[in-house]
Amino acid sequence: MRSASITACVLGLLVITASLAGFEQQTAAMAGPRSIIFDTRFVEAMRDVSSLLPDDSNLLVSSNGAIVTYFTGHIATVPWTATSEQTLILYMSQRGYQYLLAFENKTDVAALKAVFSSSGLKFLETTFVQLDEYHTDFYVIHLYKLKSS
Amino acid sequence: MQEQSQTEVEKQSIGASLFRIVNPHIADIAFLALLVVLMMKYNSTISTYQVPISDGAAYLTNARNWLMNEPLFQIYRPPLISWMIAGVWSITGENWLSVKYLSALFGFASAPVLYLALRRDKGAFFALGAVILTVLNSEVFYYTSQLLTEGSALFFLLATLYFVKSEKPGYWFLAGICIGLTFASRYPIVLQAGLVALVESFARKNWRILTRAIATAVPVVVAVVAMVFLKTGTFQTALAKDTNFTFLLSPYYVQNSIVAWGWVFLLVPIAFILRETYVNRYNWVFVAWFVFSLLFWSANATNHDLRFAIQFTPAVNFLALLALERFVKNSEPLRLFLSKELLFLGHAPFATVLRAPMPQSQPGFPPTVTPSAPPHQPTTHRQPSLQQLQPGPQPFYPQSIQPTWQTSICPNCNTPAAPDANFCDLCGTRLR
Repeated sequence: MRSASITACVLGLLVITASLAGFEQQTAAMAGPRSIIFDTRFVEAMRDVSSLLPDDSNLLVSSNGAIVTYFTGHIATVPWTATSEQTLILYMSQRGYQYLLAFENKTDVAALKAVFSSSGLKFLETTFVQLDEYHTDFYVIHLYKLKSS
Repeated sequence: MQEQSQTEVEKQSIGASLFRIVNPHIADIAFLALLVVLMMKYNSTISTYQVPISDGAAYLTNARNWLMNEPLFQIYRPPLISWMIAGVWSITGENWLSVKYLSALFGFASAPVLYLALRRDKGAFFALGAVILTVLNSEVFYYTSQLLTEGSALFFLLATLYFVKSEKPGYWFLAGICIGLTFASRYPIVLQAGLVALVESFARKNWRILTRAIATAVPVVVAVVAMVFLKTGTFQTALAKDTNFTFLLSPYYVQNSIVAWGWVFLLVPIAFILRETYVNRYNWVFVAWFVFSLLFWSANATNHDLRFAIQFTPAVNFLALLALERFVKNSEPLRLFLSKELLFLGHAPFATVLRAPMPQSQPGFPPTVTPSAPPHQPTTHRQPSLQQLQPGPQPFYPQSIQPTWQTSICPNCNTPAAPDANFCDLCGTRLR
């Protein structure tokens, strides 16, 4: 094999080695160290939430709808169309939701970021009753019930 | 003293015998070691998972609903993984921990399937390289370690490839079943699986591969659709917002190609400009697989995610290694190699550059051509052999469709040409 071909082979092998070199770091970075998948106390919290909810009741969540649904056994919906506290309450009353599970400082709806912030949650207490509060490894989760008008 | 030397001779003899046994199987041994490492890596990673990711939770909820005969939580989710979860739970009882390794099993099993599919025709080292690049791809590893459909879809797609590449007609029926299971694993990937069967049939000019695959794929697909329809009253393959396609292709996958496939992606364009990529029909399925998949996902107007690239990662790695293989197997000066190998360099401007005399420091180029020599008796010893032009055994491709370049040689520049070529690719001389 001539030198130019050897050089091409070496470059090719370097490219392959470079592809493999970042495997560990990239894989670790994909989830992030504070991802919900590593939360050791989350399942326990969801069991507690489930025990407080009546059978056949659905709940609204600020985030992680599918995960909450699976572990609580109650269908959990993210209010995608709500844009403020008022529209959130309207959303709940129109669809018959009584319970809200709020992940402090975490929501999938960008417009509701302020509502579910630490300070924003305090304002919710005018229209909601807080049933319980759960501290997992990475989250503070509040369970609210809509006050009856 | 004599006994001691005899013992040493015996030891050397045992060592030599062991080497003779091990040497042809170095790649196989390395592959087994890779499997062990992969298993340990999957185990150490998944054992830290306490909660499934969001999509995984949806499959778990659907599995519970299948088991409890309740309405599905998300009706557009492909059912196979939920059926498998429900199957495990029917024995163990419902617990997500008992199924959290399920997807990884398929991701892990994809490695031997890909290795066996490539080893037969491309050799053990090539197959090993493709497997290493695939299973140690961070996207592939991460998403197959989660409770998602990526692992099973990849496995059944690779099983389809394995079966359609087989010479045994019975395996082509199995390919069809795998196409159906690919559909049940992850709906859109059935297009890739179907394409693999279609292109392989075309490349081998053997339409029985496709017809037999269709014969078994259709019943499986129909059964899956019927079961979902009976359960939900409808059949939906995705959310409506994710099914908008456009001719304005998104550059997302090309822009993020290094993130998705690593630096090895840089070798893929090289494979596309090498003549061997197209001359060897074995490669056609990988070319079509890659091009179609890239276009398909790029044509989606809104829904772009690097994990959609997982299923055609083996095609990317195959093409990258194909480019490297051509350079590794080359034993000629680079310019002569390029003049024969590059797809478009037969045209005049490039040919002129490549045919320019080399400096004296590199003797032997350009090759000596005797003007009076007859066209079919080249005088240069640099004429590539058949083996150089057709690397690797290709047992099941009919001889009639094998390229037979060596039968036609340009009388002017001494470059091999296809037997039916009218003009030389390199210098443009009329051949007949």
